[in-house]
Amino acid sequence: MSDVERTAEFAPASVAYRRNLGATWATQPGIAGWFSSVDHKKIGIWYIVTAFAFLALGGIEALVMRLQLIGPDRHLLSPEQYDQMYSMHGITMIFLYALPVLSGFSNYLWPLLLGSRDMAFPRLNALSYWIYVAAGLFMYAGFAVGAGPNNGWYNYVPNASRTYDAGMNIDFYSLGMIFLGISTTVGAANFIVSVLRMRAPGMSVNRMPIMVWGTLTASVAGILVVPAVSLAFLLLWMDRQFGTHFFDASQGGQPLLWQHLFWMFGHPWVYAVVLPAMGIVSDALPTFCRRPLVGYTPVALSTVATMILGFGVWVHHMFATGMPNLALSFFSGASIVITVPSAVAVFAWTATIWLGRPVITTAFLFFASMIVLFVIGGVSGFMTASVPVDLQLTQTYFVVAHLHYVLIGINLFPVVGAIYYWFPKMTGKMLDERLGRWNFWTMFIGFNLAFLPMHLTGLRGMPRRIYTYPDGMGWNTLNLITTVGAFVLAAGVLLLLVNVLASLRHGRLAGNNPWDAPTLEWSVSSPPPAYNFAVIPSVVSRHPLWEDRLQESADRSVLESGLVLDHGRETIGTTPLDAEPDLILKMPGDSYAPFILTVGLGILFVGLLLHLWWLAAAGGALAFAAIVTWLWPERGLAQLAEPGHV
Amino acid sequence: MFWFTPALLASPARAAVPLGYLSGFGPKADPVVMLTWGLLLISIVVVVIIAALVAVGTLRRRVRGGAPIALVPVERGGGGLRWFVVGLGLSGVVLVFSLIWTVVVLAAVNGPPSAATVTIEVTGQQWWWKARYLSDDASRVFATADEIHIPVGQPVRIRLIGADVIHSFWVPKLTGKLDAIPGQTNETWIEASVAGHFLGECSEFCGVQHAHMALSVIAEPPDAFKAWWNDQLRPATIAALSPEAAAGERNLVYHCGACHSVRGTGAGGTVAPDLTHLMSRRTIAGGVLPNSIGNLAGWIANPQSVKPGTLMPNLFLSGAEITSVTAYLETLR
Amino acid sequence: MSDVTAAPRALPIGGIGHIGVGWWGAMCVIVTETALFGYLLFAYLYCAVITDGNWLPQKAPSLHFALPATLVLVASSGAVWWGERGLRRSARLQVCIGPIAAVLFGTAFAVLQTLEWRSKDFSWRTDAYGSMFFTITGMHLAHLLAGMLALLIVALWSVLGYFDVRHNAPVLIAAAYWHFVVAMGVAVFFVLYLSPYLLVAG
Repeated sequence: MSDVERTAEFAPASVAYRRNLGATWATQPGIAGWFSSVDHKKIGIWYIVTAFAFLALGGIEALVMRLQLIGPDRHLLSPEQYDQMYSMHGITMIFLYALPVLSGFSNYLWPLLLGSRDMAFPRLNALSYWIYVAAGLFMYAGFAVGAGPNNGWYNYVPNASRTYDAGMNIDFYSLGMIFLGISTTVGAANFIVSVLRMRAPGMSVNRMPIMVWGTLTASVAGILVVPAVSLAFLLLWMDRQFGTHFFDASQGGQPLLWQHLFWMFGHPWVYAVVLPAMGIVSDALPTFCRRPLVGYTPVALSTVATMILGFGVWVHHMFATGMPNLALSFFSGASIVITVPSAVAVFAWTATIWLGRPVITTAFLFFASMIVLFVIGGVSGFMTASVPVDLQLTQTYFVVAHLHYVLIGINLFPVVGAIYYWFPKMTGKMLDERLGRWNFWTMFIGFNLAFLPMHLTGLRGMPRRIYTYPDGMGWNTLNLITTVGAFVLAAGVLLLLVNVLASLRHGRLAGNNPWDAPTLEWSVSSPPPAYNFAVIPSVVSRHPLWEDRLQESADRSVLESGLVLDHGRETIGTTPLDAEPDLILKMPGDSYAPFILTVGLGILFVGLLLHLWWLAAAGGALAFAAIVTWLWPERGLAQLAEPGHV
Repeated sequence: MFWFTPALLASPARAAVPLGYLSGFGPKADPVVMLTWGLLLISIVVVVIIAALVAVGTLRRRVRGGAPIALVPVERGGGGLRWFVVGLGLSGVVLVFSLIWTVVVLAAVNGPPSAATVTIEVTGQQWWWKARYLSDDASRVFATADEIHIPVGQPVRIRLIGADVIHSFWVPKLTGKLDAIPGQTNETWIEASVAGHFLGECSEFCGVQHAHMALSVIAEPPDAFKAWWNDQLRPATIAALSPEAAAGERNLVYHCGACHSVRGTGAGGTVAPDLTHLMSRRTIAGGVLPNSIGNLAGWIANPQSVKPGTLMPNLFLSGAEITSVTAYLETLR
Repeated sequence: MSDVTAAPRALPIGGIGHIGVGWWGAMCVIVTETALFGYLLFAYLYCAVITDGNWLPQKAPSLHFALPATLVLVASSGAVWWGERGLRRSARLQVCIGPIAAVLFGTAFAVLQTLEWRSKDFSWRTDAYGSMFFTITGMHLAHLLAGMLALLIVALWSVLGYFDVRHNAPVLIAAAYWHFVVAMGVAVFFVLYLSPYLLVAG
């Protein structure tokens, strides 16, 4: 048999075969495994747990702010402390929770959804996780020493310049964000290549789960727009350290350049943190409606359309900066039009409920309620799209209400629903349903109590980012209600944690497919074996496990037999559109290189932060060594010429 | 720490929600108020409809009795397409209507209905507003701070300058926001249709005391406005000052003149508010405190305790010095 | 749709050329880095346009160093292309010399770029134009140096006999990256050096 090509057998998997395959794919046990594993399922869970840890931190920051704002003229926090609190809250939630939690679910699920054994670049997968942790710690280190970012998550210049923000606060933020950008970019590249080249045979693009469309779209957006924000922070860091003048109006710099670069990234980013979550709802809600999603094709297309339009609306964050009327009208129109593809998803989900037979579980409640929260966030966004109205609404608590409805409604609620849905698959145990109902209603009531009245607070003119407010403005009662609601919401999230911990111990056994769901991940055990699929399945529809029930064609997906790929860690590579097998991929095993590369980069960034250039150079050298070791061609990965060939 | 006298609270233009904008009082605000209400009502209707569809859809065909989910049959019924057609059709109509209305209002508030009679150059700086009234006649130009007067029923041009960081000019009941950005001059206009006191607020985070950068707009009948302008032009005089006030004038020029200006004295600083007619204003320190001798004394004695982070230094004046200075300030009406 | 249970055929193993995942990953990197240069040039053009051209220096930048440097850069692309062709014939020497020649051209470019920097009468701290000019050309130079490192490593691996007509992904990837660096150099040349002449004329 040649080492250059092979005909893979098509056969079922015996018990002995599965045992051997399990040994091939197992991660090293113990501590070593923690730092060297490249198993996408482990990495996915690490991502989700870490993201929830940051969610808790961000939540505590919010609760402290709400105590400061519970009434007029309070003195719990000094103005500087409040400014760091609200900045860290935004940074944590948007960068350290919202995208990473979706990366975690995508990482865990994609190979299982797509009928594959791993992501395209397992070591890169580990790298994106480790850098995420390191960058998060880097920024929190600033906060811990009282020099946390203090100019908001969008950090406008000139207030962010050395002149007006003399400490290291913005240096932590700038370098931390450039560092984090590496994680986001490599993670996005991993998703793009995985979905285009590693689906199960027969899984053409119109048979992929919508969640895959969502994350794919978000990833393409990521590699196109993350450089904008990384560049903005690099230029800001240079202004602050070396006295360049990118944003310094007195020497020809342009303060608005920051806003353009930031929002060119920032607006597509907010779609990146919701489109995968919308995809989760599109895939999981139909299971509880006992029918396929209404309008798969419109929903898939609208996912892509939303993101494409999302590249063209960034100026709506800058309506008050003195733009010419033509620009205002164009971006206002684009921002109004972008509600159309989002509305497609809402119609699809509502129709699926209406035309299906809803089975009300905790997961269903989170997904169904998300539709209403989505619409509330959507209409408040629609209001801000209208320029004259936006010039009143912007920078008030109306926008704070809007952004929390879209972020909590379209990210957190689907994520919690996803936990109820996929926890059984990940752990083999069911989450408790009764506790789940308490969890849901506490979160739902707490969230709406906190944020629905906030629209009125904004309409009454309360500005954003103020550490206190005076009596007599008509804001007192509303702020009190919001604070109470925030604590109820926090209690709800705590109930989720309690449910997870209790169910890990005492949860009912789940079995392979507790929800009788249609997609491939439910065809393997709970939790799945390290290799996911003993033999590579072949699919003929979007709902492989429902084909007998739906009877929509004579063809059937084949799951019990499939391509046998067991010469070491292997999986199948397929063509991008029709998913026909065209390559046998050799997958790398456990490796310390990603962790060591992260350490090297971390040292580099610390050196830059402290102006210790020798330290930065040392970190860079370590990073370079790790990269070269990583990329050195290996025979085991079929990267070397055949001996005897030249 | 905003304080307002009962007289201000009773002003008809203020109501219990001084920074609210669901009501407006001028030709720039009125069309926007209507559009805001219109879009708000559309939004509420949409939310109610979708919430009802989701709730009713969930309840009406739900599986009762806790049957295991695998026993609930899976089937694909038809009729889904109708949802998209109706939904997108209705949405499209509403969105196009809103877009047209938006563009119409945008055009309506773009420029004043008649030529502006007054031009005020407003400079946003940490954390107060400087207002310089411009005129073709150089002798009629003067500066004041944090409180601007405008004539009722006449448009006023506002030129916005950012002195240090980005601030944002906003008087909710009269106009939407416009940023004051270093390196460029933004121009807008305001007009009040009734007399009254309208509160404004800086609306772009500008540092630790962003929360305390209020602005007052006093609209008065054109004659009263003209009288106010003439009064503001008068320089301070040292004639008829009590000995203590005269000592206070000397102390003020010496300690405060590097930053503050009082026309008619040697105090000519430009980086802090002009004090020539300080007592004609209702608040001090960027709207933080009502203007009174007691509050002035407290502010001068320890600015950081009133507004932590403020750029006004503590000059460590003795009690006697402060008393004399406030006695002098009291004469600056 | 194809019959998925049709008789299986022999499939290549491993990261083979353009269908291997490594190539696709490298394309993602090149896309994101191209976007970075896009934003850099956007920043430059934004500043120029928003100030009606007043932000640009009175004199357009001299082409004395920039033009030869750009030509050298394009030549280096040719060297890399030639080296890559050696893969088809498994000509180990050709696959090694091509990249090394490109590195020499790249070094010449770096020298010319440095000479040009020293000839300027402003620094990156003089004003915003200076900051932009040195940062954009500096970013390009940094990417060039990274590319040179990659080519040297690929040349080493070639000498060690790692590559043949099938197993050659690193060569393709390093070559693609180099062509990207050259393309960015040409783009920077157009925007920073040629467009001022057009703006002045227009």
